[in-house]
Amino acid sequence: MSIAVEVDYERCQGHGKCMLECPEVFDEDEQGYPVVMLAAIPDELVPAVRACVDDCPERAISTH
Amino acid sequence: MEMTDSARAEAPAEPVRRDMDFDHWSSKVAFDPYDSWSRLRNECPVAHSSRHGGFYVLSRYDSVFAAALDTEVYSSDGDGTGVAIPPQEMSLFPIDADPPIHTQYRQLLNPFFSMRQVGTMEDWIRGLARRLIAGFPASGSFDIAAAFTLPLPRRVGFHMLNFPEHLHDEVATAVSAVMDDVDDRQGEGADKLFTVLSGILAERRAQGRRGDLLDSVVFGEIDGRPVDEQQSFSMLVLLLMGGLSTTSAALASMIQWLGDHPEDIERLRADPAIQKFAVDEFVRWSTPVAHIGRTVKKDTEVDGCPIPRGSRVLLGFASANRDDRVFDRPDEVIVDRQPNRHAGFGIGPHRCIGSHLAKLQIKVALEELLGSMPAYRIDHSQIHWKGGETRLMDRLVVEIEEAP
Repeated sequence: MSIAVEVDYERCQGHGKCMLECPEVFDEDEQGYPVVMLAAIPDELVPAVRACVDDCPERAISTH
Repeated sequence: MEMTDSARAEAPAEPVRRDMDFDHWSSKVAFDPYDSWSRLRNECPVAHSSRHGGFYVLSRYDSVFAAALDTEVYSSDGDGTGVAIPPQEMSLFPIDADPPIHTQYRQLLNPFFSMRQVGTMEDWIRGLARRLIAGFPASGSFDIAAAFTLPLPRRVGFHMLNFPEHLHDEVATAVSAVMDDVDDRQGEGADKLFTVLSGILAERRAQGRRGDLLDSVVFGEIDGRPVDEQQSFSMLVLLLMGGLSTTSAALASMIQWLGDHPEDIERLRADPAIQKFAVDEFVRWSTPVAHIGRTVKKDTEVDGCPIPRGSRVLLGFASANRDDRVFDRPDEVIVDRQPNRHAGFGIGPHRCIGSHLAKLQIKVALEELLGSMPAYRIDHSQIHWKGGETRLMDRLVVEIEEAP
């Protein structure tokens, strides 16, 4: 079963670690904030997305 | 989540205010801050110092993060006081502003500092790094701060701002003078800085737009009005203060660690995929901006310790980054440390706007040094640490090892 990923823009400050770690999922907007590119995360990217969740300094990324 | 000692995390904080003789501007703290920070974290995580008019010090990761995120209570503006302890004469924007004004400044500047925009400078930065490295002597000792870690970020910053070449040295010297001497911020150094930067701003104002970062500084709008000269000046000063010696600090610490730990050089060469983790780890370990101040807007409490409205509070980013409640072996560089939720670029809305530019420079420097630097040792007897708003080695002598 695939997962979905969400960025809480109240928390996100554009550190950009997710965009560096997993550019397939997190693109960057003009202001430097991530944009989630995939509605459903394919299995092969799930470990990378989970690493982004754990590495986000602002704890702004969640999966469900 | 790394957690080495969960029992310690539950230990009650000292419930009453205790006075500690802590001065973040002292040469002791500049040279070797980590004993002091460790004592504060473990003995008095909400400390009070009577220096500089009196201020509280937060030193644990959790309390530093919570305060940095809570702009309703912990103000960067502080009715004009700003974030410096002791306060600076002039407000610097956006660092001395709270949302929503802070947000407007950031929106004005953010597009020039996005990862993608900064990435367009990678080739230029790599060329510069290669030229600087090509100038290193092939044998003997030399000061790699003067040869590399100081000039690289300066030239990148001045290039990005399109400063005239002949003013580069003058600006760099004036910025250092203002940043590094707590007693002389309104003195000669500040006068020189004001003169040279005002000239650059006036020239751009007269010339018109060039489509770069300096345009936003000169022609941007805040609150629906074009910025005035004072706002332009303060933005420019802050970009220079925030961007130059901070990156130099992280680069020097990286070179120092690798010189002392050649096994990590081998690991990074053998596994380039971990280099991106090392970049963040060097920022965590060095934490060039070791601390920043806030002013409490309403009575609050940290770990049971009351902090009354109007108090100044120092957030110890360097201490948070060495908190063993969060980081395993915090005093060591673990080149592939993951996850690494460090506060080396600050946290919350005031997160370092130039973090992508800094990380790009550190990444390129690391790649280029790994690629062409011969084996070297650090001459610890000649290291010189400079304190101030940014803590850095402004002298770092390396000794090229003789080939066997």
